[in-house]
Amino acid sequence: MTLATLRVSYEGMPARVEAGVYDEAGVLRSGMVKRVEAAVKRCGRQFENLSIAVAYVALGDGMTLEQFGFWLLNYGEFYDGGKCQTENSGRVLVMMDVKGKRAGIAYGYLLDGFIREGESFEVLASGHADLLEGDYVVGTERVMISLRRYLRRVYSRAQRASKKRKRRLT
Amino acid sequence: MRCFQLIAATVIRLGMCLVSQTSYAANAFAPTQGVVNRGSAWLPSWVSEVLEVETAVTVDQLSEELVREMYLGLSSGNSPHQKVVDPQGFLGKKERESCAKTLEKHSQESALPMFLYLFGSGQESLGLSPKEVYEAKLAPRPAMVIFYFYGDARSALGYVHGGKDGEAAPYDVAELLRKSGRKASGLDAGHSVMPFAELVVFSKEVSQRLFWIEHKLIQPKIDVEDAASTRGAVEDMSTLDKLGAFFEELRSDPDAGRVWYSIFGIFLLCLALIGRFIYRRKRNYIFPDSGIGARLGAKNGAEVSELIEFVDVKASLDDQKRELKENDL
Repeated sequence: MTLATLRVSYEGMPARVEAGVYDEAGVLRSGMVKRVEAAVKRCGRQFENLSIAVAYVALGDGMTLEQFGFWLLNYGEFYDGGKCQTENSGRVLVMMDVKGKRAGIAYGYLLDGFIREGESFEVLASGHADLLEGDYVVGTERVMISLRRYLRRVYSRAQRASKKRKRRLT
Repeated sequence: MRCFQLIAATVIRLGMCLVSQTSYAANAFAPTQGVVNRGSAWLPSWVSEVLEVETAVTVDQLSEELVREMYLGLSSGNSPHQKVVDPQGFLGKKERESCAKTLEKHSQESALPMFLYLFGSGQESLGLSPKEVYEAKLAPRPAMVIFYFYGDARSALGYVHGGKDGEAAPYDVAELLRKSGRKASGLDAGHSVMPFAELVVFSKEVSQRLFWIEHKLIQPKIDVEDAASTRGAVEDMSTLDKLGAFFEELRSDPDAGRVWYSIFGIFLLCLALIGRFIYRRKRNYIFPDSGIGARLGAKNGAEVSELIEFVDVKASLDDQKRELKENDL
């Protein structure tokens, strides 16, 4: 399925991500939203050129979380403090399908080459127990803490690769 | 001259044998007038030296004044420094020297020198006590006076005075002498011993056992006071003061270099760890451009990670991971 067809499929869905939280499924109450926002902010504070977001969706039949992540990563409008961020290849989107009970992470091009297999699984696994119990807030907080640690690791990997590339070019 | 002396001594010895068949006791010549010296009051000193006469004066023949004169009188040759006082001459010259040597050795190692006063067996009631002897001759030095009844180690009497530290408990001294006497008399071993061997064992035993009395009498007082004052001082000190005292002690120790280096090293390590922690918390991570071009017509990204399921409580994460790997293969 191409991105263009996805755009048509997800046309009815809102594309606005406010302060890193996208709650289309409506699982968060107002107090909870603040906690999740704080967790997301804490996670992304040190990463200047990354924008991190969490999305809770209830996907219908024929929709997969991979497709949704691919769509939101590219067509989502990320607002931070009322200011819209233009397209950013440094997006990191943690998504949770509350209906299909699945979770995943979508990465922008900035991290693309440095993500290895199984690592994202470990990041998501840290919140598994809470997600099983339906506690999305705590689950997200745990995932965010784990993600921050993981992104640091990815950063050092990216740094090394960047230096290597520069050396090769010179 | 020496030959003459030997001949004369032999004649006298024979005469003595004729006078008394039982012993060499000078009972017929009660020492009422002559100088009491070296165990034989009525013989010239050179004669007794040659003969080394073993004389035992019975209680009946010894008046109280005479006993005092014999054991306390300085004129009889008893200097206050003499370790073995044997005016009745139970010991021979060599024996006395050997005994004195033992006691001298003891006094070099101990703060309580021993003074041995020899009496005959059965001379317990002569009107003289060890305490009296101590006060008359040895006070105020720390000393132990032992009245040893030759041939009967178990009835020895004693008195211990620690000088400034006062006198030892009489029952302690009695216990010490009782145990030493029992050991020396060979009763425990079940055999009899010669009187001199008994004396030697006795003096060695007393010398060993006296350590505890000495410890109790002299040492502990100092220790207790010191410990009390130190403990008091330590209790009064706060934790900071204790730390200060520790460093002060360390500073005064010339071999403390290694400890200082270790402390400095640990301090640096802690500082480095704290610094790293703060740096990692505060620093900004700016991801470099990955150089990956857009694919699938996507502007921002096309990478979606593996998914995790949280449907069933019983489905473990490991199973999910295994499934993911199998799917990849």
